[in-house]
Amino acid sequence: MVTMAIAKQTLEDMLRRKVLLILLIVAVAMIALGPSVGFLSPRESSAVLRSLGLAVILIAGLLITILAGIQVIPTEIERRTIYTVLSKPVQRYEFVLGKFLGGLFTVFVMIAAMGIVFLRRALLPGEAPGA
Amino acid sequence: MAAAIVTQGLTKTYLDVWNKAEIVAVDHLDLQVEEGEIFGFLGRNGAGKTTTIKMLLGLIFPSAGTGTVLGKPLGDIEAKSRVSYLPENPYFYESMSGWDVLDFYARLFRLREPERSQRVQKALEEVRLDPKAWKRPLRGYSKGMLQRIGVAQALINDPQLLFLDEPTSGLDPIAHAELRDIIANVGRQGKTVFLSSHQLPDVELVCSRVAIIHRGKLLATGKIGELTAGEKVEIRADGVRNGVIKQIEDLVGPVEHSDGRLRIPSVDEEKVSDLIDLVRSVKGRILAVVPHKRTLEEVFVDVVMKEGVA
Repeated sequence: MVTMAIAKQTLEDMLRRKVLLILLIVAVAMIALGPSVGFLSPRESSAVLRSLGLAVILIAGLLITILAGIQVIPTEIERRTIYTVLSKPVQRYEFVLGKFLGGLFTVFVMIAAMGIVFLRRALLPGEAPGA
Repeated sequence: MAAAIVTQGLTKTYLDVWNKAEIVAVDHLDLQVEEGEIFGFLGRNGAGKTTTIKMLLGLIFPSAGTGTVLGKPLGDIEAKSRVSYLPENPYFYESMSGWDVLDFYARLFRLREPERSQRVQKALEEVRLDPKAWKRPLRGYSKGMLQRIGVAQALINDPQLLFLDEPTSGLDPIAHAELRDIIANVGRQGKTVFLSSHQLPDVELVCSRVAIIHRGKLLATGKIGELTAGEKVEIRADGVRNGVIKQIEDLVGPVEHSDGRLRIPSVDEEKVSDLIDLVRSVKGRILAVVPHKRTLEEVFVDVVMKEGVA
């Protein structure tokens, strides 16, 4: 319960980070605009679209993971909120685990958001030219 | 009454990596805080107050020495559920609302609904935070409101022992007085409060006992009344013949006198009545007897200056 409370708090906090949101917006825009670069390779536009979309998800997902990973615990120390949390009946492993899960959920939510946009673009026949 | 906090030879040293020198933050501290008292923990900036509190809470580990909090060893999880802490200049998750922050901290105490909501509401009411602000994100809060959230956060588990580190720093006079009342009120509910503060008049008002530390060492500890004791009295008299001045000086040391007027700037309390008898015996008139009560601030400055300032 304690671990999940920390994970939930971490997720909410992470989803409000501007860096992560900007990354997400750029990635989603690239995936959504994918079809417009399909003309670069007229005969295989759907393959270009798919590999572009997957590459964007891969790179953005990687960057989000790294950024989330390096921010999760250091910001707690910087803001000194870690002292208020660890002075409560919370074991250190519960704190670390909660923070880890929170970061994991963040990455999951971000990749899911990009994935939904990608799937709509790649799989709906009417929307993707040449698919 | 049982002791809420006991420490024996509590020591924390840091290694200064660049100079390969050891910095002693807390030096063999022996403290005892009784249950139910508001204990003032005084010291200059960098005296080791916060380090001591962090060791008592199990946030950092002592280099040497031991202690107990509520009868449990330092850092014990069970003790932590009955203890709370307000750090100096606390920061909270600023995108969350005051209510959500407190709900989060309540979850850390494994409190369940509906008790959790009741506790959150009670704590917010106790620190007199404007209900209109309860659901607003913290980033729009003033310093005084944040400090109230900090105190509410420390009350959420209905603790037996509160560690408050500089709870009134940076507040306006009215918020300051309110917060002081809240702390005194917490003390009246029978909770133990370990209060670290530079606001000596506040400490004098709310605390029953204090400890003064300097460079990690305990310099003085005791009831405020005992520390400020040893009161001196100023006496002024008129019509005192020169013949008796010698006798008076034998009793209290050098005095100021001219034309039978006499002023003795500082007389020990126990000598006051003898002195008055002496003046009366030569038909002198006592003009004034003025007590000089030492304030905690004077005691603090005295105690610390004796150790030398660096």
